[in-house]
Amino acid sequence: MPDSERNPEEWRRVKQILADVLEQPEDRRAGFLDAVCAGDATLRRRIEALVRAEAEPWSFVDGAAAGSFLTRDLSGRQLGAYEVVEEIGRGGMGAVYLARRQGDFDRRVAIKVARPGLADPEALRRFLAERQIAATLEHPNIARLLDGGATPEGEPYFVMEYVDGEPLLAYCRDRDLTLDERLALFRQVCAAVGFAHRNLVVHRDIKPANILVTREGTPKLLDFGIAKLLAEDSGEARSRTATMFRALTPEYASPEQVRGEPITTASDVYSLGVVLYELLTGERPYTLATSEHDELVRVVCEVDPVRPSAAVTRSRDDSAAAVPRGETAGSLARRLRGDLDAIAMKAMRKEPENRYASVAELSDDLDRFRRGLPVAARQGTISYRVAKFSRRHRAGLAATALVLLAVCAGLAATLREARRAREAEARAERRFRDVRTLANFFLNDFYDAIRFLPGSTPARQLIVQRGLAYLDSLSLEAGDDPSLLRDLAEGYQHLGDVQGNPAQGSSMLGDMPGAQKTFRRAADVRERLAASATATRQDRLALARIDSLLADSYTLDGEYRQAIDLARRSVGLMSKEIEAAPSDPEVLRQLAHTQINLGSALKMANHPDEALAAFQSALAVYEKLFTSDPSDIVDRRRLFVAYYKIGALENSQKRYDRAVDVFRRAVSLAGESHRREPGNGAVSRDYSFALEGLGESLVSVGQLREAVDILSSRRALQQELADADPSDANARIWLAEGTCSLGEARIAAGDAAAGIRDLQEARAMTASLVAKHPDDVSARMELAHSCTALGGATEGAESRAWLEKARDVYLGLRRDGKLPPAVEALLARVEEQIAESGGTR
Amino acid sequence: MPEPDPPSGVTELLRRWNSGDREAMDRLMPIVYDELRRLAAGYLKGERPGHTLQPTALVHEAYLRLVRQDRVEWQNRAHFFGIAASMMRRVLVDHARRRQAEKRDAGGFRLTLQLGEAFEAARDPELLELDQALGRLERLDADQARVVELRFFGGLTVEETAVVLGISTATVKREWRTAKAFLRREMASDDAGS
Repeated sequence: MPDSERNPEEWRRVKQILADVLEQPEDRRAGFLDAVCAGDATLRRRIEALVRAEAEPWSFVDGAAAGSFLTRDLSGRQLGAYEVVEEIGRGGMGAVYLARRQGDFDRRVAIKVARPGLADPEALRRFLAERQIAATLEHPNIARLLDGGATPEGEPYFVMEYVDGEPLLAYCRDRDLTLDERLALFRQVCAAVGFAHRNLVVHRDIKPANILVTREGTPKLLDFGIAKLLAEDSGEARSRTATMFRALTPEYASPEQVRGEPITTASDVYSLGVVLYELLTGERPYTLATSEHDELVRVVCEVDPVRPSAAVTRSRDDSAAAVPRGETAGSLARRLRGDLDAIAMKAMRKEPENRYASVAELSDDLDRFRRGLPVAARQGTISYRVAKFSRRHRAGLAATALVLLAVCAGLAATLREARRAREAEARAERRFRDVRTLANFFLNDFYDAIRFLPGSTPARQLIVQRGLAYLDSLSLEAGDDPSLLRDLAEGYQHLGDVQGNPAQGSSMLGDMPGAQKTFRRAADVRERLAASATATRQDRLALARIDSLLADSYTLDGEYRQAIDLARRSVGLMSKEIEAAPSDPEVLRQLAHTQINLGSALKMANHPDEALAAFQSALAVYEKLFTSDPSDIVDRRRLFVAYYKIGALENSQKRYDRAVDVFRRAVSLAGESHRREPGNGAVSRDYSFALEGLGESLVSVGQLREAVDILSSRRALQQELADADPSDANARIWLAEGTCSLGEARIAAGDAAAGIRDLQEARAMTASLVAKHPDDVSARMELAHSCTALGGATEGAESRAWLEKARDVYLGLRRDGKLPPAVEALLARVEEQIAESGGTR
Repeated sequence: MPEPDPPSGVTELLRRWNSGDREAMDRLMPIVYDELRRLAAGYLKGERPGHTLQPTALVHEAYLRLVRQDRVEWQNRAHFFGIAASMMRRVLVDHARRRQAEKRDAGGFRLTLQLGEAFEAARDPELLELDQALGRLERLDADQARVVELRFFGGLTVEETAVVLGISTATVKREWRTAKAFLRREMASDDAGS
């Protein structure tokens, strides 16, 4: 093949140049190529050939790509009884044309032609056959649907009353309407939507572009009834697909719509709320930075919009054009504050049941505002805000989940009786499985949904209690059924995660003993599965995983021997599976992850060199994975963990220079993740760990000023995390630790007063934590640490008192068998210092 | 015309896949593939008169039929459309190859073809060349080839492709344009060579 690219790098280079050249206007391309090719004649020839190739028309590809249906122009064509005049608009769903009725050239209509595949041919045929067109809505503010059909190419089209008007927002801007005039228009729109709802038609796609205002000032809603057709009939699945693509203008779509759930009149209320918001402020309530679907689902379903009055004040400079006549940004904010704020926000509540029950109610509230009467939206606001412990839209789910779990637990017991009867046995078995699947959904999927939210801990506690009850009852029924056993193991694992899985890195309940017990139950089940005759590779890997998890849990709890044994067993299991399937990246990841756990346990058990070896094996795997896909969030995190662990190890071995280098890498990885996901508690926590590592290493190599900066940032981050979830015990321990480290660094840098203040704060924090969670090893260690630090920062009797306090805590830990070998050294040092200062033993 | 219900295991497989069970995807793929193939055969045989090549319709229909039941959330829709588009490509290319073979064996258009199919059959050589050229692009730039697959075989618009792949529409446009240049060049030089 003459002059083709031989490898990806070559193509990438050529492609870049090609793309740039194509973006140049034709008369500038030659000059551009001169500059870019810089004398490389071969390259230039190649680019020119490609440019020529691109310029040739290629109907085969352009025609077949659905894009063609979008760019296809039907002007001049005949569609039913109409003749298409010209295109007047184009959108994601299709094109809109101006057309005239044959023989009656004054009768103008708009024809919307949709892409094929979006409408069900059956539904359309039925629609036409049953002449449901006659039943379409007749209302002065609704553009009438007149006819419909399908082109020979299979595109459905809809003939509508032609509306000569401007979209709503543009109309308001161009005519410079006052606030009251805008509200009056809006209420006319509400009247139309309300009328449609009474006739059992939901619009589904209300947005300013679908509201045209005529020259006379009459608003008309477009596309009524079409959305229904395009998303109708057999199954919610249809509406989800259509909705998914309509979510190309997702700023107006309700949370249920964006999630693909059934649409009701409440969805229209929501969309009207968004339109109202924009009418009042000139802005949309949400800005979506990416068009990625999951991001948009997240923003619409989870992010609370800023109140209209606040939005106006915030963008004082920019939206001057959007401010209604007669208002300044300040006066507008004042008028919006209170009633209008409440009305707009009520219409836009995430849960449908919290919005206005009907469009008429929304309209009435606006009318009450106009007349100066109290508005309904402001009642119940306080109780609404009080339901804050679970993110608003979670409250409903949590309640349902709990009810369901309770039902399941009860049902399992009832079914046990039923099973005795032979006839009912088969039926009960089936129902039992359905119940199980349903419960699993709530137990697992719901948990996944709330996992990363700081501030959702009380909800989780409830789930855990009920969940355990349910799983225990299930385990009595499980017998030898492998699929039931698998579900059981998974259920236990998820519960253990909520109770306190150190590997998750998300908010824990701080119930380490509870988590361990639950994980052990899971491990028992997994062992049974892995040992049975029907064991699959997945079963063995799952056992390896839970062993790894338990190892991690034991490590945190100070049971290092057990942790190391389990981790080694896990590594062994996985290595065997890798031999069987060497190219499975998932198993490699798992192995690396276990190596990390093993390394942690080895480190705590005072085998630093073995620990380092384990960490470095893991690091090699993660580097490779990360390089091949730098956008993978999970891999980035794992790589970060590996660096972090190595850094911590180097630190503990006093190789501080190396530690600094390694931690810098960790900080850059974690910082990047934090930048991408600022609201994610787990990510913030990682970043804070990385900053800690770097900060402390910097202290150790004497770069104190930088260390103080780093540790300050870290403490600020930890404060944020602790504030976000007041019931998260671990967040408070970490905050105390961060405060302590910062204090020590400040003292070392010469700012003794500030440093000691920090240390005292840290000690106070840990003391109260230990009082609340006397079993928590980390809290006690932290208390000892802060006392030790205070001992080092003060003098004489005070210093001795602090050191003795620290020693007492360490001794207490040792008595309970929870003193890690690595920390023995710290205890020894404390005792030395006490002896030096002449204190008693 | 009466259509059989989708296989009952599909919902369960989807759920499992959603929960991270990758084996479920392996079992799901043949089902999806069969569905697409059946639909494609139907279209290309002219069972839907008047329709020309409409990848969108097929992929959408397959999606709807497979996900018809209850509340299954596709966690990664990009996967489905990416896979469906690749399958679409296989389906069409296979079909084209078979028809070419039949044509050779039957010594020309002796078989009676429906109007729709005759139109399609005329496109076969080009489709096969495109497939080959796309294969070459895949070896040089898999991501870019993916854009082409989604757009041409999956029939997605620029916006839809951007949503599915999680990239910007500007990137999609650039990739599509430069890909076309590459493919065109490759196919032209193939012609010259043969």
